[in-house]
Amino acid sequence: MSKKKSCVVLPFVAGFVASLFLGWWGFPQLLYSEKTQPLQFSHKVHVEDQAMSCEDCHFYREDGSYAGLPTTESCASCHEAPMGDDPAEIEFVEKYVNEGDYKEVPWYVYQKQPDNVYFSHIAHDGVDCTACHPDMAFNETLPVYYENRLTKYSKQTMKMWECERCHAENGASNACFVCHK
Amino acid sequence: MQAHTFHIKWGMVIDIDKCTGCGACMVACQAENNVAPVTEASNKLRTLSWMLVYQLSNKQDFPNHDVAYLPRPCMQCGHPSCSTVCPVVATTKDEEGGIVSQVYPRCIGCRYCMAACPYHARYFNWHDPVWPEGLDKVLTPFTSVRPRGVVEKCTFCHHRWMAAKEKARHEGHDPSHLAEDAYIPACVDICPTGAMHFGDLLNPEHEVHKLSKSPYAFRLLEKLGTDPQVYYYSKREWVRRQGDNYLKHEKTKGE
Amino acid sequence: MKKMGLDRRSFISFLAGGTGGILFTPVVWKLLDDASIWSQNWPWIPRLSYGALDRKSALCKLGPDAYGVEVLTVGGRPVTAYGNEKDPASKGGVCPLGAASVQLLYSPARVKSPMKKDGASMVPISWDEGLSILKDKIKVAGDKVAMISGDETGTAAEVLAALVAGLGSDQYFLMPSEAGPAVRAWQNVFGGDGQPGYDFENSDCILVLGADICQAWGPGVGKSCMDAKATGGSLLYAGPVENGTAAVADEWIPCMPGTEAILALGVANALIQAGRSADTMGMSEFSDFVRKGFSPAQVEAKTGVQAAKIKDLSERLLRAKKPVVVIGSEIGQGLSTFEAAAGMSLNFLLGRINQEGGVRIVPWAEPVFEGAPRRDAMLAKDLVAFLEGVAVGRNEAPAVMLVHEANPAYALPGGQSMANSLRKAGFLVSFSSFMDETAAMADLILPASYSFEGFDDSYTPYGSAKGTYLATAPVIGPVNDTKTAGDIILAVADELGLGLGLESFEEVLQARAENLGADWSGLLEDGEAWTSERTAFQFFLSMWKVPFDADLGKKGADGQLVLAPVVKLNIGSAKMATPPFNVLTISERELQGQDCFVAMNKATAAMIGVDQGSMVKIASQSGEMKGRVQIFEGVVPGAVSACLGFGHTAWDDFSRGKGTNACDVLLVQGLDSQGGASFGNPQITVSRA
Repeated sequence: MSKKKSCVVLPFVAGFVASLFLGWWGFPQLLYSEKTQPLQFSHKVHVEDQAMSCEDCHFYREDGSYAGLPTTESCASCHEAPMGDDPAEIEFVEKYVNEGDYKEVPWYVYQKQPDNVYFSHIAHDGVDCTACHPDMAFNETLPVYYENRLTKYSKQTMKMWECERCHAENGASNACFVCHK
Repeated sequence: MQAHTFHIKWGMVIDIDKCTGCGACMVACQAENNVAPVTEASNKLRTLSWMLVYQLSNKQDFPNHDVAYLPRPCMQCGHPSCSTVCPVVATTKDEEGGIVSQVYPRCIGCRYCMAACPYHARYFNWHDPVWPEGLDKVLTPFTSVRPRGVVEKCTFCHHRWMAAKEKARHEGHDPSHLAEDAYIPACVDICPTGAMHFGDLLNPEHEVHKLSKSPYAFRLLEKLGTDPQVYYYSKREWVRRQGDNYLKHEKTKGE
Repeated sequence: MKKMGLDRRSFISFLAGGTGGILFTPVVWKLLDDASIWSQNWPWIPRLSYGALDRKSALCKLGPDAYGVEVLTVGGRPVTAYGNEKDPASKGGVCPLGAASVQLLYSPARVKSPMKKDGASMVPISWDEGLSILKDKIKVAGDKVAMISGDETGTAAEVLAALVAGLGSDQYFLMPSEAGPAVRAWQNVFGGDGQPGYDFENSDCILVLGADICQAWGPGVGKSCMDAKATGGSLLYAGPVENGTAAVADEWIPCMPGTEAILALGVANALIQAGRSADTMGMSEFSDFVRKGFSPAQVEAKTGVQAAKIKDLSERLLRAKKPVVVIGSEIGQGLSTFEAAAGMSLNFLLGRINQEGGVRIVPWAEPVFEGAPRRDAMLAKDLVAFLEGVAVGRNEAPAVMLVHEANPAYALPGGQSMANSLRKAGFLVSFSSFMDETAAMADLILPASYSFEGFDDSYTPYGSAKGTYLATAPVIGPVNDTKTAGDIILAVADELGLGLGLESFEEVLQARAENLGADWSGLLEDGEAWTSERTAFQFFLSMWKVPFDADLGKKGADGQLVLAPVVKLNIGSAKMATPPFNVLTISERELQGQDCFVAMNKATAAMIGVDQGSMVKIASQSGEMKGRVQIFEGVVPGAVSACLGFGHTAWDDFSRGKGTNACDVLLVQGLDSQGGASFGNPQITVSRA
């Protein structure tokens, strides 16, 4: 047997590139599961066609807390019965409005924070909503929700360092209890 | 560690002469802050009571005996012994208002803070919390639920302050200048004899400011230099004397 | 292959490259971060749910009092209770039972559906079956139907009484309370009308005899007393145990258990000596009576209160501009009519009837149903006297006994013998929301909704200086298969063809509100209490209309050990066992594991020969209990203090099997000529167990 020169560099590069590929492309595929929202909802229909404003559904309550997603009961103030023949709307009325005492739609919330995080929308009133949230105003369909298989949080859930950086840049306090409960 | 200077110092003045020891404050606290109910609470080293009512006795025999009750929240010390020993910065006194924070996911359960706290105001979760049969439906959204292995303590119902600030912002008021009763913890809110007062100790318009300056006001173990933000009030000298370690012939503070 | 020269070295190199490459991707760092987040969210740790916060008005009737609370809801889900500032009965305070009231909706002790007894066990049945069983039983029983209600202020008890009265029975009983003897005394002994209340907040000298008013009479009373103190008034407490009221009083005047009425008559004597008199019939007889039997020396001998102190008390009352005297029992029940009258006589002598800062007599609410008894007619009947009669065969046991908002099998004196009397009823029906001791022995349970799950109301709890009315709508629909008590009873009446005229309990309450002139929607929507400053017109008041009771003055020091029971609302009340959220509040002085404590002072312990922690058996003629000795100098010598509320055998793990029931030791000590039973401070023997 003749002594062969073994190939070292190429496998190294191949391994390196394969890892990069796996790590940047494959890993997120594995880590996140894709979830579709329980119902199709078009912001565009509400904002453009019906000329509703964002605040009609996403508003501050009387106590200054933020209403976030509208409740089924508030949706039902228009959609007590189907207004058109959109299958999603009919499904909404049948499955949620007519179900017992207004069953809530189990929406996936793209920015949902853990229970130990306190966030006040009204304290950030001057900040543009889209600084943290995806701009949904003219979306016809809801974006895919990516759920982290390990943590069960949304891919888009903001991390603590992001909050801290913005606070630091704007001279806001980074004391623990400003954001934790 | 450098102490922060605050413009607001949330404080409590508890009038011991008005406390019947009924325990409503303990129940209100437990419900508000999602402390799980327990079927057995005899071993007080294993229970969690952010607010705990102690019975005081003047240690005289009948008929000269006298009894008093002392509700004990976290003292929110000006110089906390707990936060300085925390190896992971899970408990700090760094926020305006002077409330000592406790961040549960950060706590590693070493319990140095419990050893350091001279008021026994800190509690360790020896077990996972259990809400039997649907009782979890009464969980409030105010305080995150703690798993076993972390330390917890009274926060002066910090969430109520946050809520008061949100309300002030919504109504166009300055959230750093709240009205006197805009923010009070659940124990103070519920007290059936009105024994507890709450407000900004630095604000001369607040009742607690005046009460804390009374000669009948005292704090627990003041001589340790912890500078608590909880004051007690009693016209009974023996009660005030039990608030600290006095030498036999030493004059009681305020006398 | 050969050409490529791929071998083991190449493979290792590939792995090395792969490992190096991984470090330039987020995999490791992201996994570490995510793993730490994952470790914060165990699936068995409950998640919080969020929503709009709201407050709904509700009523807390878990203690002996009744007052308004506000239930905090999150997205419609009730989570906890706060005070209702608009309710004069609570002034925004909440008692330790009220603080735990919302959590009781989901108590493991809730009765989940109608049940009937089947042999030794209870089996679930439908409402139709339950109602038809009850209808059949009542049809057979005819007028031999009796009822017990623990809802002293609510209209539900009146609906039940209307049913019982409609059947031709007059056996409508309320659980023993302070109101029974106080009202009997006011109406029978003094010839008055209406319900006595006390204007504590405007008084400048409050003398409390026995009753633990600041701890156990509802949050508003405690606040009123503190308000009186804050404006320079004094609060004096006389009783055998340094209880919650003693802790906040300016002075504790220790007296032997059950001798507060004797002390009152001693003070009355001193007031008369000082020239006080009431310009009414009977005054001279009363004056003779107290002079003969209640001289300072006689009173001192019985109560243990020194003659000088009695004189001092009378002088303080005379000096005060707006004094008021209130007498009651340490456990809120068991006073005799004459003991209640003895306390009230001081207000008479001091001229404090219908005065600011004194006693104020609140008019009764007229019954909603024609033929139904007014509340004073119900209070005139004494349940303990009746059941005692059943036990000895003096009274016939009812064929059907209906029990509403009450737990007589647990909470009556001589617990076991009273439970036996209940057992003698042909058919025992419980409307309890909880599996209490009475429900556990019932033949049929038709579970009433919890107060927060239905309409409920309260008219002027005893002690209130003003007429008040509160009515509340459901905070949440029934959590279990239950119905509002009032609606169950209306349904039963309907089935029996006794149509009470109103369709639903809501309509009944509306009628009540209308009778009073209260604004129904204001009551319901804003939690606004209806109040009235009106006092009842007194036609003919006189001092002590009926013969003096020979037993008055017999109690007291005679070298025997006496029981001094106390109540702590955090542990429970006559109708409520320790709620889940209250277990934490029970101190190490009250309960250790399964053992409750009984308190006595050092001298008493030395006399009996026991030490701190000794297990002792306490026995009276009626029954016994066990407990560990707690040395507490706030108990008079010769008395042993025991806390009611332990020793439950039904309910749930939060209360069952903890300590023993002190009610078993309570002994009915006599029936007075006005139909009242007196109990509370029996002679006991204490031995090591």
